[in-house]
This record gives sequence, structure tokens and C-alpha cells, in this order.
Amino acid sequence: MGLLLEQKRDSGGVLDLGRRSVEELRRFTVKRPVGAFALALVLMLVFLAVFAPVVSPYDPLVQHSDAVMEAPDTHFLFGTDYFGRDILSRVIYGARISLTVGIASVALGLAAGVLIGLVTAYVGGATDILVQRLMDAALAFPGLIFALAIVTALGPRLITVILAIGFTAIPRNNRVVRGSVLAEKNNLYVTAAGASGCSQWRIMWRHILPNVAAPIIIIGATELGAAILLEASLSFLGVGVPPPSPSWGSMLSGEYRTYMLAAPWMAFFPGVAISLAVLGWNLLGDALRDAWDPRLRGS
Amino acid sequence: MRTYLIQRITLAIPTVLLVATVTFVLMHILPGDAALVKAASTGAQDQQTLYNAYRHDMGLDRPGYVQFGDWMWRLLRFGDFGRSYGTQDAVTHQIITHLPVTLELALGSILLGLAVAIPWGVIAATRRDRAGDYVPRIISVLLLSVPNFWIATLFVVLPAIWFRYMPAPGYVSFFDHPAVNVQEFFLPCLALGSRLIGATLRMTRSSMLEVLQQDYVRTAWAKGLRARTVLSRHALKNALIPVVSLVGGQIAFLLGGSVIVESVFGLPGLGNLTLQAIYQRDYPQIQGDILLIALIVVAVNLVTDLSYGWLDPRIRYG
Repeated sequence: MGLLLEQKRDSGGVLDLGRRSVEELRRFTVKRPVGAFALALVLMLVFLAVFAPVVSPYDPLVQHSDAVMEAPDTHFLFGTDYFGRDILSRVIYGARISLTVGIASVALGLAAGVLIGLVTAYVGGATDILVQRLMDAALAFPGLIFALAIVTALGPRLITVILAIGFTAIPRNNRVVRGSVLAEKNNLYVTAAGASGCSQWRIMWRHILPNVAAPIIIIGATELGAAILLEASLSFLGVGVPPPSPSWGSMLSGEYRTYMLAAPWMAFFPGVAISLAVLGWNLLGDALRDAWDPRLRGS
Repeated sequence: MRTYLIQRITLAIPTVLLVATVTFVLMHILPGDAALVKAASTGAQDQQTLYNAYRHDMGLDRPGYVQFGDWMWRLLRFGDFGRSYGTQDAVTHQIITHLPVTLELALGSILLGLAVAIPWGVIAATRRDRAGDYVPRIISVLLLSVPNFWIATLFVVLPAIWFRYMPAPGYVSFFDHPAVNVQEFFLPCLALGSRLIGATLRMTRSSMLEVLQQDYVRTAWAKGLRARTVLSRHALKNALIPVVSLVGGQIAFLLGGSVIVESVFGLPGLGNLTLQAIYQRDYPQIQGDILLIALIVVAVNLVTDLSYGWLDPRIRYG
């Protein structure tokens, strides 16, 4: 009955639909201001990354030889670095690297973490014990040192940075997925699926996975923040995506540090960019958790 | 309790051995090695001959499993981590000289973090949804998002610009000049501990909020106890378990972060040592460092688990 009424009200066409989504957005903003703020930050980041060539005032690699280390002014809103490159443009282009590495490595880490966690938790037995010990051992490694070793050995390139960061996230993701699957697998619907003749594989992927999707999406958002932070840290240590690509972390390191006292704006804006990007994903993760998993609120 | 301890330590052994194995395998399956780095650094004409000679010197021309067996045997039999390829010094000696800096850094961050975060978290919980709650909540979220290398950079740059203050170069041991040492470590500890402060603050607040709703806390208020006693004796002690668990879990992050903080502040610690070793593909040193870090992490986890029993006497081990 409720559904029928809903449909009737919806029949106003495209115009009404538009008005309704605006209304929903307004309600969402009032109800969850932090979530809305996070969403705005994340969308802004994505927008800047996608439309970097349109939005940025200059080419990030062009050296304005007449304006080296110029303080922020109307021409260069964030100032220029010691090559005379526009820092605002470099920060905007930096969003591309940050987001590319973030999304790709989180996808990798989640795919592997979900596969391992789902299968071992469901199957159990000796495989589970062995994999768990391996994951415990991996958790005793500091992620940064682990990623650092991988990237140094394979050579700093975009793909190796993605691999290294994705790798470090696997044990954490595995743990979350495993915990959720263990809680789910004794439910009646799993038994029912088995009784109706579903294969083990089908039970895992079609019955259990959709039920543990919420925690997976929540850690996806939080892990994106962590991945962006780790990418910046690697670049900062000089083993990230190689120059002249404008990565936020490398804009704070190396030769830049020699000139920071003379041109402190070089030290300021890239750091703000990293912090805002990480903040956006962290808050989004929190908001999703509050909305979907009230038991974990505030933890 | 004793059975529990023995059980835990027995369980930790395979974990640490596994860490050692994984580190070894990882270092050796990745392309390039220390001989290559060393040969390239000489800039000599005949790279290949030099490379082969170095490989032989370092024992890298032996099959992988022989190298592994040899390394493991020395480690288990003699506690010998081997010699660093770079400095030719014993890995153990390198670790002993560099470890105190990192330990002081990590301990300082934890102490600083707890001293700031726990009282603040308690205050935030008692002022729920008022300004005294919002400010620490916002600060904790910010601290969880700001990268520690940026904080460290600002700690170096800003005092230099504002006060023309430059930290004295070089490391001074606490036992030689305590005052100079503390001055030297304060900002690095704060930079390293920033994230810990944010996480602890957040956890203390939410854990306190939960405990403050318990019946025994209401009873304590009803008995007319002073606020101080209710909050610290009745509420905080019971709220601390998740906080302790969180801090224990952050130790791996702190040791990883020491790589960055030590390099920004030029402190000669384990992080810096490991960073240089990684750049030079100095296998014995990397393996030794990572094994030690894993040992510390595993030990801290054990101590964390044991502390639950002190915080909540109902928890029994066995």
C-alpha cells in the first residue's frame, strides 16, 4: 500500500524528480552536516582531478622564469616554487596522482582482502589457520616500511606505488571482511541456501557477500584516506611517483626543503591539500558507518 | 596466568619466524641487489666484473635457500644478524646504537599522547554535544587527517621564521644532557604522536560516554562522591580497555612513522637506519631491523593483552 502511494506521487515526471532530489539533498545536509561536508570535499577532489586542465590557471610544469619563488598574489594565488612553477596548478594536478593511486590501490587491496577473507572465513579449517598466521605476521610490519621496501626494489613508478600501497592494506581488509563473514555465516539464510542446493561458491558470492557489503564500503572510504596519506608519505621520502609529476608529498620534500624558509608558502599549500583530501575520505567513512552500522558509532 | 603467558609466547614464535621468512623472501625475489648498488656507486668502467666480485663477497651468488638457511641458522644459534653490507658493522651493533633514539621517540609520543588525549577525552565526554565536546572532536578528526611529515615540516619551518629558532644539530643523549635532550625530542615526539593523540582522544570520549551511562556510575554519583572520584576511579578505569587496546595497536604505526620524523629532524634512530638500508638494498640490516620491529610489535601486543587483567580484574587468563 505504502509503495503504491509512493509511486503515485512520483508520477510528476522529470521536473518533479529533480525537485525531489534537491529536497532530499537538503534534508541530508540538515540531518548529517558532517557527511554532507565530507561528500562536498570528496566531490571537489574528484572534480579537480578530472577537470585539472580546465580549472588550473597554468600548466603545472611550465617554469615562469620571471617569477621564481614569488609570494602568493593575484597572478599566482598560491605563489610559485623555486623553478617558477605555479603552486596552485601543481596542487590541482596533484589531485590526479593522489586520487589515481588512492582508488587503484584501494580497489586492489579490497579485492584481495575480500577474496581471502571471504573464502578462508567461510571454508575454515587448516587453510584458515595458516592464512590467519600469515596475516598476523603481516600486521606486525609497519605499512610504511613495507611499502617503502617494495617501491625501492621495483623502482618508483605509478604502478609500483599502487601495488605497494594496495598490498599493505590486504591484512587490514582481510580482518574486517573475515570478522563480518564469521558473524554472517551461521545465519539461517546460509543454511537455507545450502539446503536448496546452492554451491559453496554461490553461497559465498551471492548470499554472504551482499550481506557484508556495508562494512566493505565503509572501510573502502577510510582506506582511501589511508592510501592517500601513504602515497604522500612515499613521495615525501622520495620513492613515490617520480618527478616532474606534481605529487603532493614530493612538493614538500627534497630540494624544496632548502627553500622553505625563504618561501614558506611552498611548505603550506600541498600540506593543506593532503590534509583536506584525507579528511574528506575519513569523514565520509565515519558518516557511512554512522548511517549503516549504528553499533560502531563513534568508535 | 603462567600457562597463558607460555601459550602466548609460544604462539608468538611462529609469527616472528614468519615475519623473518617473509622479509627474506621479499628482499630476495625483488630485482636488483646490494652488489648492484655498490658496484654502481663506484662508477667503475667494468661494472659486470665488479658486480660479480661483490656478489661473491656478500654471498649473494649462493642459491636462495642456502642464504636463507645460513641466515636463519646464525640467527637462531648465535643470535647473529650478520654484517651490514654498507657499513661492514655488525647489524646488532648498528641496531643497539640506533634503537635508543627511536624508543625515546616512540615512548615520548605515547606519553605525550596519553597525557593530552585522556584528560581531554574525559572532559569532552562530560560535556556531550556542547562546545567543550565539539572542539576536541574536531581537533581529533583533524589530527587523524594531517600527515605527520607535514606537521614535522611545519615544526621545523615555523619556529625558524617566527623566532629565528633552529634546533641544535646532532643528537644528545638523555643521560648526558637531560634538558637538551628533552628540548630536542619534544617537537619530534609531538609530530609523531599527533595521530595517536587524535585517535586516543576520540576513543577515550566514546568509551567514557558508554561507561557514564552505566548503573554503577549513577550509584557512585548517588553516593555523593566527588566528581573527580566518580570520573577517574569509577568511570575512567573501566573506560580504559579500548583505549589501551588502541594505543597498543598503534605501535607499528609509530615505529613506521619514526622513519619520516627521524629523517625530517635528522635524528639517528632505527627509522633512519632502516631508510638508508632500504635505499642501499642492505639485506642483513633491513632484515635485522624489520625482525626487531616485529618483535617489539608482538611484545607490545602481549603487554597490552596482559594489562586488561589489571584494568578489569574480572578478566582471567588461562
